[in-house]
Amino acid sequence: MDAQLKKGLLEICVLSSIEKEESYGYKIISDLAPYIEISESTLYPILRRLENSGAVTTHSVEYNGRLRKYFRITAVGIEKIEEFIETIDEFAKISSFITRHRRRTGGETT
Amino acid sequence: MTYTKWESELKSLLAGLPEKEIEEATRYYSEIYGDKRDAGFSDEDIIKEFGTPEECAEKIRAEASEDSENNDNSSEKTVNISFKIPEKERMKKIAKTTLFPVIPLAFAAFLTIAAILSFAASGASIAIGGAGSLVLSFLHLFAGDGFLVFLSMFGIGLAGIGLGFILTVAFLYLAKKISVKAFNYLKGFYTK
Repeated sequence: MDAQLKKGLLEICVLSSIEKEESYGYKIISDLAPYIEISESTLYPILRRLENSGAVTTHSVEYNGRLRKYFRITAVGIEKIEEFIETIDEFAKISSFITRHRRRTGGETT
Repeated sequence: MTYTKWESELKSLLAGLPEKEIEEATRYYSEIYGDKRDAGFSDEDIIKEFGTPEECAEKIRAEASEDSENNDNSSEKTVNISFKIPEKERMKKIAKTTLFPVIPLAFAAFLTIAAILSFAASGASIAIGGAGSLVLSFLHLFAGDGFLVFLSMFGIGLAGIGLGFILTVAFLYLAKKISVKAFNYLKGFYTK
């Protein structure tokens, strides 16, 4: 998969994982693991980017004598998810056109 | 490798980045390390999943440089926009903080108006000369210098009054128009 596309997809996945309730680094990775491959070192820049763009806000909570950083989605983040869903619908239409076209031509180039 | 060593290597690889950036990154890994330890993972497993400090540092640096590039682009945009400000708008900005552009403009306007007023004064003097010529023509007539002398001087006098009147009115009108325009133009620097 294209690196930029994967980066964008991961951002939306992270936003979706915190859409219902705020979450923290380790939980986000655990929640996403069954659906998409994401490592700790990949998640960090994504969280930073989302924070810098105002898609999430953060706050720290003490847990077991150490601080845990929680990420909460903002209106900007929700808008990003909605935009993504619209884009996916457009992609589905384009994908269906390409598939039908290939089926008709038998995948031959002219 | 222990986590402490891994973290210290990461820190040294991030040297040069803003202190806050390094602190954020180490805090993030330290938090996940703690959570993974709580979940029963060993140091070795955790570090293996994190990847080498070099790999992690590279990703952090890539994100940081992307951020600064975006910031650079936005400042570039601002510069481009500022260059697109029309001349009058830019002068307005300068005029609001200094009298520099207004003084030479006001002086130029003053000189122009003075020149036009001097033309108007010339017109007035022609008209006065014409009036004098008119009076003289009658004096010549009463002195018996002949009707032709009277007529020529009377004609010159009338022409002088007419021409002088037209010139005076026209130049006074022009001076008034230019004064109003110049005043409004200069006032424009200090109003929206």
